[in-house]
Amino acid sequence: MEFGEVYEIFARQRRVEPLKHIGTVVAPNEDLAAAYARSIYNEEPWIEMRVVARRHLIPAIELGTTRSPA
Amino acid sequence: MSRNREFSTPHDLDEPTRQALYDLFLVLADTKHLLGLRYGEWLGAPAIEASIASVAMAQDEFGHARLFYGLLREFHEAGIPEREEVPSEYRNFEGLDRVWDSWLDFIAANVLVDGALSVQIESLQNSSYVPVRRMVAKILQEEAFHHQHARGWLLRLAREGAKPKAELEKALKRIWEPLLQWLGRPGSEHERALVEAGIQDTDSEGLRARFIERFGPLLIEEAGLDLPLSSDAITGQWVLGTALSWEDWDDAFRRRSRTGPDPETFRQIESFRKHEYPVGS
Repeated sequence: MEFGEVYEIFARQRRVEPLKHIGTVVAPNEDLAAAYARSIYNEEPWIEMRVVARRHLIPAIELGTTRSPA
Repeated sequence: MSRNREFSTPHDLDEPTRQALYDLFLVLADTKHLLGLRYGEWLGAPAIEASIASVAMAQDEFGHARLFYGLLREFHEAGIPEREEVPSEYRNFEGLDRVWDSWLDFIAANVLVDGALSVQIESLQNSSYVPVRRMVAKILQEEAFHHQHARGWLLRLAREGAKPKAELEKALKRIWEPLLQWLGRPGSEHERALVEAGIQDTDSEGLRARFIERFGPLLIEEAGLDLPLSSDAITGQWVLGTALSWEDWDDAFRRRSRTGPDPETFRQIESFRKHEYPVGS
């Protein structure tokens, strides 16, 4: 297994679809995150794939900060 | 000028140009074939993710080799004899002759060999030779992914500490000079024919300039590696610190010696070649 940080992977197969979350990859830097994502998640004919470090996702509601639904 | 001329088959080319283009395609095909083979040997990469990426890159290289071998068929029909299947007739980059000793050799080649191949292939993007122009875009798209992998590993190793960085430098230096030469000898008959016919958009010095402009910032500035390459303080232009020696250089093979791959490698190629490359059939 690689070390580094978690990157979230988003992709889509058709222009009319939005990018959707398809998984994660662990990598020591952005270039390797993209390279790994592309070779590991290669079963579907993606037209676009993007990766972003999980720490770059801005929290709007964070786990454990909300009350459980009534 | 040759700007508006286009060539659809080798028959449209004069004899020296036809030979020069055949030589280029065979050099590209053999080099990609051997690069694919070497990439494919690294199922034991330092991480499973890197192994998977290596195999994906191997698959790409074999695909590209197949395309370039496919282009040769028409040259054979136009009278250029098929090469004999012996190691000494192979035109792969000499740094691929034998199995790599370490993952650092893998990364050095991933950066430099893949990079030089891309620079050479980019020069064919608006080629007057129509059959090659059609395949360049897809190849370069896949090469961009190889570069991302190479860049990611290069920076990681360069920042991992003094020892891995020094080892990486050694691996890069092992192929540095033959690789820069691989882009061609200035003033050779080959480059003159290809540039004059508008097949390739610049000569070997132009290719080398593009190569060092692209890799200088990465190798020297970002990775902080010690290689004979620097940028001019005033113009910012990247310049090579060493003069290339062209003694024993073979323009058709782009190698210093016609030894070809070692016996073990050749046995692998041979068994693979028996399956043939059915392009477009």
